[in-house]
Amino acid sequence: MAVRGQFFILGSVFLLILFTSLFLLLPKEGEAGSRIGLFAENLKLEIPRAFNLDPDGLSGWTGWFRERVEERGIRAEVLWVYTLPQGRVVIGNFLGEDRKLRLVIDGEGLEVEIGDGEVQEIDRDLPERFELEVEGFLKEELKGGRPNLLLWFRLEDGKGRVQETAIF
Amino acid sequence: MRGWVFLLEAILASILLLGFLAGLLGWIQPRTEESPNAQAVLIQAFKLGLRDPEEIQEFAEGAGMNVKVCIDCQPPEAEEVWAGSYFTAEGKEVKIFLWR
Repeated sequence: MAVRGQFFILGSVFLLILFTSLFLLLPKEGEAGSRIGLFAENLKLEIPRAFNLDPDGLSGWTGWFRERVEERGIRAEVLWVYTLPQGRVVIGNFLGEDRKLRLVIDGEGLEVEIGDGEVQEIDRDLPERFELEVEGFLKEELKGGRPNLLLWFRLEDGKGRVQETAIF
Repeated sequence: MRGWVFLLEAILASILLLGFLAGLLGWIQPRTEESPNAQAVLIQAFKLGLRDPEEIQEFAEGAGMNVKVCIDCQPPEAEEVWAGSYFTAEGKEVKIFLWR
């Protein structure tokens, strides 16, 4: 009888440890989502500003943002394309690996190989209205007479994920 | 039977020891932790077009807590501090600290 009592005590201690561990390990509802959601908001608010400050500096800024976010345990993949009225198309790869991307400008496709954290520049006359596509990521109809910035990103922290596209 | 008693004692002793260590660490280390709520205050301020840390501080002071908004700074010395960060286009990390 005394032995059975000890089993109960031991069992209750194990159950206590099990439930405490589960409580600590399980993701807290909404917290992870809101955390990456807030970094996503931060990115969407600041990237057009960084572009307006200096389009050539956008690459440095994106790399810096990605590092800061990754320091917080969030995996960040970012891809952007911008066009300038003078016929410049620039694509930036921050997807975490070197990529071969297919860019389609107004129906005309070309393959571009871009290292992670690097940009590729294409000089091309842009009509007044044209369609720009990065296969698998972005597709949008744009106006050639003004600057355009297209953004695709995915933020992930193991507990949640935010993936969005934005046009500025 | 004695074996079970020893095992039970060992488990209880481990729990007590872990609790003691956790308490000690919590006491020694400043309790600053990242908080989505603190970060949300910054996002809201930037959405409203506030960009100067002093302006953001004024905006955040309405929350009824102690607030420190700054760039490249350390958390205040308080028992429990909630922190948030915002990364500006100018390449600055604006930090917010909230504490009671």
